[in-house]
Amino acid sequence: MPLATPSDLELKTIRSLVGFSGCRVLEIGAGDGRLSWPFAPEAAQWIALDPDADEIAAARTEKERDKEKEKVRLAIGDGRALCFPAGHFDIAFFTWSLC
Amino acid sequence: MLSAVAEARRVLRSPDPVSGRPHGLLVDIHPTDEPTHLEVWHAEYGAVGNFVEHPDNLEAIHRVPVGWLEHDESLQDFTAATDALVEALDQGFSLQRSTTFDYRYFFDTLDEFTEYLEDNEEHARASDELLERALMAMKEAVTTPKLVMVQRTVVTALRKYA
Repeated sequence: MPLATPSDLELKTIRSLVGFSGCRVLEIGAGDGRLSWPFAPEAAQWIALDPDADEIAAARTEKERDKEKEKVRLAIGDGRALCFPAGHFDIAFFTWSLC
Repeated sequence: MLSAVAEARRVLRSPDPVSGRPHGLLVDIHPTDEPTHLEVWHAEYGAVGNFVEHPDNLEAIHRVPVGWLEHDESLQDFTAATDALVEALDQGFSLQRSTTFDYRYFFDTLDEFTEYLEDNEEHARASDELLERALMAMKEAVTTPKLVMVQRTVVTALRKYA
């Protein structure tokens, strides 16, 4: 249900807990990339997964529109079955998706 | 199928003795299971454009509580997310830090708010009585009001350990 654009308060609160700088990040439940875009530029790698193909399609459209969003790699995927090698990521970021 | 927490633990890194970097982090953001509530905000002084968008203006804002929204099963999803984090503490993670904040949705009109709820009816509903109170509070505002839906949200960082 979150709105399309994150608020300053939301970004500030997340930043108060975690620094993404230079990190390899796996975002799980990325939706349309709402929280990927503001944080990804500082990360070394940002992979955004969502099980909803429509959400990923919306994120791809947004990514194609803006070169600054190129770093985000988008994929349809479920957090319960990840196809990544063990120990690859510095941060696993669940965005409104853990249950 | 493994749980999302177990999968996250598998793909998170172990400490690197060369760089000195510690284990990886699991970071989660989700709403708490506290019901969403509604407020009407207006500036205490004359008309100020976009006043709610600037956190420095918060002290100059008059906040009128209107009431709570109704939820069906969506709160159970948020409870499940909290439960998953608690269980993670028995699955190789330790609590690094957790904090909450108010996630706010701003609407200029009651129609805008009800349209939003119609599009997201699986999450929350507003009773007629609540909408009437909101309309009344907006009419009584001395400056241009905003209708604000407030959802308590928690951000948590858990550190993987060996």
